[in-house]
Amino acid sequence: MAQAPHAPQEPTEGSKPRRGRVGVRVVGRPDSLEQRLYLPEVLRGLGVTMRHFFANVVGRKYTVTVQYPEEKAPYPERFRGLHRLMHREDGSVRCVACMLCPTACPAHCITIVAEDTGDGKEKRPKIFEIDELRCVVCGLCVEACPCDAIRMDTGRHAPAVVHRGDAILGKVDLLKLGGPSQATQGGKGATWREEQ
Amino acid sequence: MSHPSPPHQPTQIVFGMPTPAEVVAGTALELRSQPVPPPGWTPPWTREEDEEEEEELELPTEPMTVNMGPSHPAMHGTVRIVLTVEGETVRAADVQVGYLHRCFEKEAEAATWTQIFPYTDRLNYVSPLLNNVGYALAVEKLLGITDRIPERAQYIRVIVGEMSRITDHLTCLGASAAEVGALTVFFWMIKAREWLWELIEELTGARLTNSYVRIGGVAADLTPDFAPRLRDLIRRVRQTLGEVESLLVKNRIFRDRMDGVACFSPQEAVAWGWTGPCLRSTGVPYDVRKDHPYLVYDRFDFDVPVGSRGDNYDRFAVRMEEMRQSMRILEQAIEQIPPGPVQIDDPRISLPPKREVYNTIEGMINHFKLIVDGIKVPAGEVYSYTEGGNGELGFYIVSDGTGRPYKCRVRPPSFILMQSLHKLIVGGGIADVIPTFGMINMIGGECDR
Amino acid sequence: MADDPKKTKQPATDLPARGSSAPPPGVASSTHIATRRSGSGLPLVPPRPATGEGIKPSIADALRETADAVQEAVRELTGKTQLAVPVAVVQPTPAQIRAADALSRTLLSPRPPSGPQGSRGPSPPAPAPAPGEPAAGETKPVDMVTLKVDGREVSVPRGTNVLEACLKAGVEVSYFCYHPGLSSPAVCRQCLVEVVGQPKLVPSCYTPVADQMEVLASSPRALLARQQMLEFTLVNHPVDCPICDKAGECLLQKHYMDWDGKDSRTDFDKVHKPKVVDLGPYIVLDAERCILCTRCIRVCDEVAGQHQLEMAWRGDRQELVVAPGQRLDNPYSLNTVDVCPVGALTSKDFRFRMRVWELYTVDSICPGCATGCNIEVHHHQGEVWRLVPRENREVNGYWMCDEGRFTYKELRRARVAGARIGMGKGMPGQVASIDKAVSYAAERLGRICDDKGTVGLVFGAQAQNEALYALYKVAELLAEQGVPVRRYVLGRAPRPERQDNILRSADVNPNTAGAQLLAGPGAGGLAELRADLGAGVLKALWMVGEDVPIGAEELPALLPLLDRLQLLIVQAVHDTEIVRRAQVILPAAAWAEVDGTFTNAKGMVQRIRRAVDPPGTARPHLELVGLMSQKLGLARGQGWQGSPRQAFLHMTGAITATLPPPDMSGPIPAPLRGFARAEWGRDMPPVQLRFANARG
Repeated sequence: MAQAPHAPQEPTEGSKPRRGRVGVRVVGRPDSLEQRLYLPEVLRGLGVTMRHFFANVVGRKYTVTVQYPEEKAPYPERFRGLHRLMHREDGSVRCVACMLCPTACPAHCITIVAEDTGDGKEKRPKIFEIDELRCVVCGLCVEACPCDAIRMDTGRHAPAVVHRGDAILGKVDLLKLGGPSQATQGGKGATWREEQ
Repeated sequence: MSHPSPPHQPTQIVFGMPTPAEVVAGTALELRSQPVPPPGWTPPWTREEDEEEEEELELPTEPMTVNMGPSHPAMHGTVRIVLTVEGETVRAADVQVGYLHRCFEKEAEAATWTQIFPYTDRLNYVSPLLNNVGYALAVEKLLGITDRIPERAQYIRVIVGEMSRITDHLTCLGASAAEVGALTVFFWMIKAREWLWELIEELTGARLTNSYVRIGGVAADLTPDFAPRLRDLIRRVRQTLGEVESLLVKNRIFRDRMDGVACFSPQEAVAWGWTGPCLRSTGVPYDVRKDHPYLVYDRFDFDVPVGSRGDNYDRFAVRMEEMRQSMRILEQAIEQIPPGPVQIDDPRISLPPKREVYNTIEGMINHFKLIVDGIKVPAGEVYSYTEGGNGELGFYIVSDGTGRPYKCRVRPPSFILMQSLHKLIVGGGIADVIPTFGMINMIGGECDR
Repeated sequence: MADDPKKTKQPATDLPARGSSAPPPGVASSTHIATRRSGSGLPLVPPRPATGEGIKPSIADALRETADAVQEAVRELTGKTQLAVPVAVVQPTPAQIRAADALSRTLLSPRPPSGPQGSRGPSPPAPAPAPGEPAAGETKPVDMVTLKVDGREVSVPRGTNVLEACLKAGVEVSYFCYHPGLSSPAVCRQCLVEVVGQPKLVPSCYTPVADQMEVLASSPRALLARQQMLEFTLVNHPVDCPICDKAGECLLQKHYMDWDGKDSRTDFDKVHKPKVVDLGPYIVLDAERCILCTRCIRVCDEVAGQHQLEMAWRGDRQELVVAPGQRLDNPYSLNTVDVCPVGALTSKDFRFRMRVWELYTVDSICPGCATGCNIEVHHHQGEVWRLVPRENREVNGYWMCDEGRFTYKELRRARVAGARIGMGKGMPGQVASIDKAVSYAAERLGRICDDKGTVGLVFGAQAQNEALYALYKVAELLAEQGVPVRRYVLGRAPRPERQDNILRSADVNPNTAGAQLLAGPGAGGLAELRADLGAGVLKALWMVGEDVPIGAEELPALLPLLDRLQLLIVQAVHDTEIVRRAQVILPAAAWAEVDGTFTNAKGMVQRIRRAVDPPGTARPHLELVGLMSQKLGLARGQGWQGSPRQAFLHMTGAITATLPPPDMSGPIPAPLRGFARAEWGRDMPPVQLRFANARG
């Protein structure tokens, strides 16, 4: 706006766009006898809606609705839905409770309590809870996971629940939704490049 | 009934503090004061039937206070307007915003730069990608990497941004049409919006709360069949817009409700800080994309639609035309988009590939530090502005060198527009309040933050 | 060892830094917007130029000089106090003047040679030059050397190493093995810099500065060398960040992000070493993560004075092991975890429990003993997770003892969470609100006062100075009304076996010096209390702090004596046998839950800060004393008891007003000097460690 102000153009209907640094097009303001007479244009409009109506009745040409509970619109591949926790080969949880997902979560919906796996070397989540009511489905937790443990590719949206507590998914629920992950992991150096 | 346009004389519009020269010349105040309406122009509601009305209004009316809102169904958003009415005429209006305050700016101070993207989704929640882009550009400006963003990412940002602009205008116009009685239009426009959102969902993983843009690029590349789908989409949206126009533009019911209602002069609009379609409806062709091109907007051929009178119809028509221009941009962008990466190649900004993270300590450390500490933005402050759905969407961010903003201030276009809403509705009828408000298109999430 | 220029937090004093020949560091200069934590390094002493340039021929002269310095500080401080305190408080009322007189008499009268507990007397008077420090170091003008680092000129004392000079010049250099509190063996080679005129890169932490030296710390050659060193270090580092407790404050992570950022180029297996090695009672070693910097070895050798760790093998098989026949069990062992740049040494107490970057940090003082080590309290979600030492060269250097680190566990052990009113004498009381309990206590105490019965006041050595000052005011006002008042200083029992010459003190109370100063010279200890109870002199006893310096075996003898009282009021932090004898139990907040100050054995008044919320309805001692004095009608409209800061200003104002005139010669008690110099400092908003920009 530091430039010189632009004066409004002479309003002529369908004026040609002005060439130059700024192409300005003054919007039209149709004004005609038909319009003043009210009925012709209203009838013409009704014609449009009637065309839609009959096209829909006969061939469902313009219909975009689906009969929801019976028919479901498919979710795309990238759709972010319910979380799930992935498994290792032995079926145990891949997550090592590194807490990157609660750190990255802007809604603070993930609660993890870590525990020793028993040999003192590794960690695993003792508690892994996601409050799906708090979740804003941004996907930052998936991006943050360094172990391919958490994913949001279930293709299911958060279900309706009767009690708020039901919306908190625990480790068991999340593991049930999960599956085995094929990602190789752990100090392979650059060898994974050849494996690819 | 449309009236002959007032013969506007181009007047000088002046911004900011008075210059010494103006003060000496004594024109400083005049240039910034309430603009004088063009000669011979009277407010539409006082025209023609003035004398008749006065004769009819024999019954004395006394001012009454009416509360509009703040519940959403009553209003276009969560806002409350306390109207003082005399009969059907609004005599005073007290516009109260803040019912959707979510502490965006305070929350942002406790989150990493990346974590703020989901918050920006919820600013103008009908065009979240524009907010994403605006915020990312601000942070990139402070990082000094604006020129290093891969071209493909810039094109993708333009594409998703223009798609969002279309959804924004579709929502605004559809709802406003419904408010003046044209419910069919609402359904058709929402249908078109749904198509767009479906494509956006395929691309970003969510319809509304996309969180798709990242600092230094975008989260993921376009889907393989994106271009043909977008072209098909543009064709269908164009068709829908044509049908909508045929229902509305020459319809006298609609025109009578919109023409000459809530006029605003360009001087006033500039004085009140208007931007976006509302400013352009008054005839000022200010568009950030044209005047201060960002991303790759300078490579596209598109026009800035302006209105002539600054009334509700102009705001409607400007938005309609803007959607067409956005589709022009989309068509050009999808032709021009080059192949390449969609994230900047900088280990201090973009996350390493997952396989590096899983298998090398270098990748793991890089990933860890970026997630935990956030992207370290050098200390400093920057204001960056883009053309949002409703006008200039500005982010003023201050960094103290850590991984989170010291301050993240938003200049939301609708908040600025809302401060002059009372000027638009006072003097008009009660029934005009809602269409006028709808044309201002306040989005609560953005206005109240 | 010169000053670490990054952390010139502790301002100048006339006490030279430990083991330092450098002049005292200047005032913290960082006022940039980036330093949100700029208030963290609370200067407890007002910054002022160093005094005493000339030669000190005798101790007497030195003492006189110290007295002058104190006067100067007092003048500064009183001026400040008058600005900060509302006028109503500054204008001394007759009662205040009397109080000040009484206090000055108290403070300046010769004090009994040993404290009532018999453990520690007042601190040795006026330790003007530190005892071990040769006066010669002060007398000789410091030999300064000027050199250029990346074109920036910097002057440092001769003997400083190049790394410190670089840091002082504001040039960042990466390092692993260097630590400002330890010797430099130059084993990591991560601090290589280029020195003009020398053919090879030199390890900057091992190279002393020379005059007119020209250092290129950021030349491409030096940067490349450091990057390559880092790559070497990373070759065998396991991909353990997700399960490593150091992640987030790891020096390796920090250096990689700051200096390297390159992808891996290796494609062979990493060397494997033992993963979970039990080194001692508190520490676990992960040998794979170790980058062989030997910091931990030097901590054991140089700080604890015990050689307990060693390196074994060599090359990429080199490994940290415990010395033959040893375990890592010295009382300062957990400092090795702090200095470990990576996650090789982890604390069993903290392991796997919490991620460090989530923690919020608050500066405070260790409540474990009279040394008053400066610490950071790391808390999250209302829980304290660990305590780590904070640099203060006058007190604790960079270290703290293991025992002190575990004092946080007491915050959740046997706490008194609500007020109780009862018959006392060990019978269970009735739960009451604090208001009700205070009213009840004040009413009964007031009746005893009306009858001129003797009232005993216990100044707990675990309580903060502000609360004890409020109690002192109560004592004074009661005495004014003609009520016989007896004062006692009680605390936890001393543990002489703790005493060493490093940090640990036998006195396990953080505020003994403050309590003794504020209780006054006539204050007794446990022996006097026992005698008075036995004689039946006391009618009521009001204890601020529930600790008594006896063990469980002697306690049964004391309890019946307490039952002879008409009224026992205890402001208790922990639930003990003594507390259960009380008629009124008031829940008090512990050290990590209040703002206030502690006075350590050296007489330094140090600030503690509120980190977490107290349990239940517990309130700070100060607030409880304030409530009591209000209900007793002793507050007289003074509102300072409501705010610890106001109480502090009131207290320091009153104490400095009693200081002797400038021509006074002779020793000044250390605590008094501490109070004269004390500052409240800035408020610190809690900062999450990941945004603190200070660690890792």
